[in-house]
Amino acid sequence: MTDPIIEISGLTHTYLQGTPRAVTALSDVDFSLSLSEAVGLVGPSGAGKSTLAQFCNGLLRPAARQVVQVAGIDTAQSSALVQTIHQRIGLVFQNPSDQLFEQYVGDDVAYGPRQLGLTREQVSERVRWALSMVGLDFDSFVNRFTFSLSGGEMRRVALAGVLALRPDVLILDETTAGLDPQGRAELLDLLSRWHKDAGLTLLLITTRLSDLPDLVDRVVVLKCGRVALEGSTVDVLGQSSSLAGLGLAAPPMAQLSHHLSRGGLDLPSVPLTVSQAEDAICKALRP
Amino acid sequence: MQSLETLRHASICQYVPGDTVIHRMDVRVKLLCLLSLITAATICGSYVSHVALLSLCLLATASMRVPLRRVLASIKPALPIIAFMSTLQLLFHGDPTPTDTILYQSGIVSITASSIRSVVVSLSRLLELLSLVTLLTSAATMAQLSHGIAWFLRPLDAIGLPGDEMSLVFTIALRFLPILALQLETLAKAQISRGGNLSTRGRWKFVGTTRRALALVVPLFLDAFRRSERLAVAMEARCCTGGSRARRSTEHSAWRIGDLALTVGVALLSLALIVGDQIILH
Amino acid sequence: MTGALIQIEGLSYSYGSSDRPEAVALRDISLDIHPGEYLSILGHNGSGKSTLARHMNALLRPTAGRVLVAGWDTRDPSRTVDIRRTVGMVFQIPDDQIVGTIVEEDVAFGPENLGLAQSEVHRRVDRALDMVGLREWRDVPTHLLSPGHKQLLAIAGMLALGPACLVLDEATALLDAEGRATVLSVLDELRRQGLAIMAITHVLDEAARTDRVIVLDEGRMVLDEPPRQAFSNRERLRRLRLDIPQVTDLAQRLHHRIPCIRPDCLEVAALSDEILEAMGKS
Repeated sequence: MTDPIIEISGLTHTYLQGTPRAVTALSDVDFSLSLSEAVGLVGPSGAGKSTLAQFCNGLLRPAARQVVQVAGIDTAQSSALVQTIHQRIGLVFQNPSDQLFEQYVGDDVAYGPRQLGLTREQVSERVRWALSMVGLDFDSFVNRFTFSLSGGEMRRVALAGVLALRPDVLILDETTAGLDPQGRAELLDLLSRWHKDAGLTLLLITTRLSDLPDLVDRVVVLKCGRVALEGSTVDVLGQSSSLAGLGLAAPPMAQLSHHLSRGGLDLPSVPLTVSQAEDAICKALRP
Repeated sequence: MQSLETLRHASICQYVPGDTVIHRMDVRVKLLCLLSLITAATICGSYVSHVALLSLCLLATASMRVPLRRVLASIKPALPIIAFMSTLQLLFHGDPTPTDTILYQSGIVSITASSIRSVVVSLSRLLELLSLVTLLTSAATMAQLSHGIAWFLRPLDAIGLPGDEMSLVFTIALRFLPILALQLETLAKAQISRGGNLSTRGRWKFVGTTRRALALVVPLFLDAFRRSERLAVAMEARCCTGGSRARRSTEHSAWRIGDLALTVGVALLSLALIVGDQIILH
Repeated sequence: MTGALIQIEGLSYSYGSSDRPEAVALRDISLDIHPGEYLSILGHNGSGKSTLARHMNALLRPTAGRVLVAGWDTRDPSRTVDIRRTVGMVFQIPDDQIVGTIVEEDVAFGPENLGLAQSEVHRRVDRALDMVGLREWRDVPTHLLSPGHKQLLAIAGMLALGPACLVLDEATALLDAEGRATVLSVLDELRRQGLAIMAITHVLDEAARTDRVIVLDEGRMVLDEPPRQAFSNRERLRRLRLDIPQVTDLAQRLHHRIPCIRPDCLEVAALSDEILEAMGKS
């Protein structure tokens, strides 16, 4: 296993420390992410997922040293070094409209590369590449007004804007929330291809556990700022009762498997997709 | 980026629960006293009156157990501007009056006793204003504040102005300030995540910073407009047509003698300060 | 026809502006909704779901055709308030429909807009808070509520108007599992009390619990069937850019291979029972 690109140990973070309104967002959290991994970070709202994500890309810095290491940099150090992290770790927020601020699509996607100090040709190349990665035609979109795009198009442009930095790691903070089935399927498909074909490291933050099968290898569950469960996707998503106790809903197939085992039918492993469930059940009923 | 977080959390929702004298005052009394003292602070221009006012404010702040550094922390971002303006005030006060003591003069630049006084008084005014507002927001919840303001706006209904609607607008604005602050924080974080550097390092970086900050303003405005549109639809769905609202008249109890005495007392104090100030200056 | 709570007859809606050609959002929709019904409206983004919903409480008015709510025509301005009292609406973004700074104040907004007496307003607020289970939260500042509770608050705010029907426009889309479960259980309780509920949703499991699934495509109504029938044909729904619940998909696949398993299961528990029964037989 290669050295983790993100290594967090014993991280505790309290907002407004020392004031009467102090809120502890994270308590003694250990987390690591290695290159080429795809990890799911889940938990009920308010669990601290976004806070953890922002430590992973240096937006938030810990009070103590040696607690958060990103791309070899101890983020408790001076902010000058920390800024280089943004090129390697990209963060995509939930609402596309929170991330678009240039008038034209081309300019917006070019924002990141320009901040890196690339030449005009290089910037243009990056924009072209990023737009193609999200399935938008360069020529028809580069001069469109960002604020006149449809929701789905805005989402793609926002993604392209982060991709244009060519990060090693992509963190997606609840990017599937509120999407219709088709939009969701398209986004998850894109992410899956980037991970499997291009080797992009993914950290997917979501409250919907059914986003995760077929996409991530490992799942970390947060609750009230602490790591409540972690393990491989199958292991974690298969624990229907534990997840229910944490206020989360296991994917339907995992729930089904749980019901079946309560009724006396144990499947060899917890199915997470419909195909897996179909095969497992047919085998069980007709050995 | 801790500063961004602090901005959001420490903005308007500064209410600190407690049982001090100021907490127990009726919110209308608090608002009226604030108004009197701010008027006095604005009008008075002599050292003596500001020493009195500043001591009063600092005393009140101390009695409320509000840490002084919280008040000072809110000035911090504006320090460069304040320093700049104060220097201007000091050096370019204008032609000195005949009774003025000139300490230094060279061409149009002059430092006189009155220019020094005006700088000191301005700074003092700033501190007083900040501590009074901090006191108010520490001792009154948003709900109380909006009720208080609604009470003041009520008489407008009698003269045909939409007082009730205005207080509704004010309540909603208060409610959405923290939400918009959070939105600003998210926008800033998204920019920074793509390499935008918003920190003010170096004296002359403020040009770039201003440009980047402006880049946040447009999306923030758009977000605010979108929200207000959605909110307007939701309010319409709840039969809000403007005009026919029933009054929330039960929120305020009758004035107590103590409240009345306090209001009048503070008003008289402010008046005394203003009168005294005029006497000292002339 | 008689007894229908909402009658939609040949509804068409287009929003055009001077510089844009007419954009047609709804085409010739006819639909009856009866008291106490529980139905869901599905459709890809842009299919017109929200637009249709907004015709139910006169937020929008038809370009052609008509909409009758409890017999009142939505185009009649004198009936708008009555219509909005009858059909309440809860929206997707929790924050952008809350007006009050504390829970009680927000729920009172609707009744106050009706110009009711304070005692009546209080009575309705109490009752609405009870119906959603927020009684003990009446003095809590609204910004401290979780998103799930904010949606409950929004529901209470509508209930205070005494509606016969509640429309939820993707009201659970931004909630986590717990929040969604809380809202759904409140909806179940409201159904028991005879309220008609219309859920616009993308969450297929939610649609599966309703009695009637209506599907829109490009502004036209293309399906109006109970969930078991609506979800029986996956291909048909995929062509409409939708899908069927995973449980139903599995049931259909299993049915092909093991015919004694019913293909129309909508819930995990039901399918589990079918499978266990089939196991018992073999």
